[in-house]
Amino acid sequence: MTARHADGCLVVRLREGDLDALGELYEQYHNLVFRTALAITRDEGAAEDILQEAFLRVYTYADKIDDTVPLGPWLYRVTVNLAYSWTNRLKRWWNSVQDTLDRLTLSVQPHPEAMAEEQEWRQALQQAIDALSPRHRVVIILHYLEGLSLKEISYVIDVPEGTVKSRLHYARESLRKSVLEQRRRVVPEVAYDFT
Amino acid sequence: MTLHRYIAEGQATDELDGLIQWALHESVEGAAPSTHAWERVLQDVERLAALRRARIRSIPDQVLGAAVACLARVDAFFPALAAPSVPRDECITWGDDMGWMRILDQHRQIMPLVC
Repeated sequence: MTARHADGCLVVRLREGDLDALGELYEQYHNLVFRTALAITRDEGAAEDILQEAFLRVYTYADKIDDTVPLGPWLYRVTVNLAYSWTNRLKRWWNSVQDTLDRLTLSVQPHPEAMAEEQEWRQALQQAIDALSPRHRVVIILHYLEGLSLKEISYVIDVPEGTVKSRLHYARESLRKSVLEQRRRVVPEVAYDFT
Repeated sequence: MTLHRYIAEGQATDELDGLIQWALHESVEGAAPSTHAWERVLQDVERLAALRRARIRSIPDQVLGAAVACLARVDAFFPALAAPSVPRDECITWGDDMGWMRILDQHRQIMPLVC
């Protein structure tokens, strides 16, 4: 028999209707869910809606959750799926594309005030990340922000490890090109390559 | 945290990886759900729990209704069973209830056929 994980004990209490157990799980995981949802959707309101829905699902599916493993990977999976659904809704997706286009247009126009170098870098990278397709963006976020391994990402998004590896490679290459372009723009004479 | 400090502290082994990590961390830095988020989760959960409790309470009636409907379909001679005219908790006065009178009447007609 497999030993029950500490999260599993809370899940068992939740199955018995103990809402304090849900509170403890919320305390432990709400930042993880909110941060991941925010990084994918880039919208605080949406991230909060996803947070609510994710914990409602913990309650709804408490009977089906494996109590022998930590809850984190399952929650990542739910969060990513909810964020995908949010992003895929046509209107919001179109708004996001419009926002990206607006930002890109803005970035090629001469800025009236000199922006701080770091701010510019962050903005450029964030735009490049936003411009990735949702499936590439999710892999980048889970790997670089959440520090998940290829195997863990494979479980979360339910695709083979090889697919995760190729998506990560593609996304990283795409970001590398964007960073190089940014570097050429900021410092035209210094345009060395990355590893 | 600044980019230079991030790289200097060796939080990433590669410059590009460092840039990506830094930009992503910066994009969510300090972001947190509102203090009301948990209250809303709890409200949703309590609403769902109440709905579940109500559903569990209504199961015996549903089962009884389904069984009666099934019996009525199987035995077309006793349609009165599907819609009992007397509330379940009340005593039946045989002579006054038209439903049971109909059943007895049908029974009287069937008996010669089966015997």
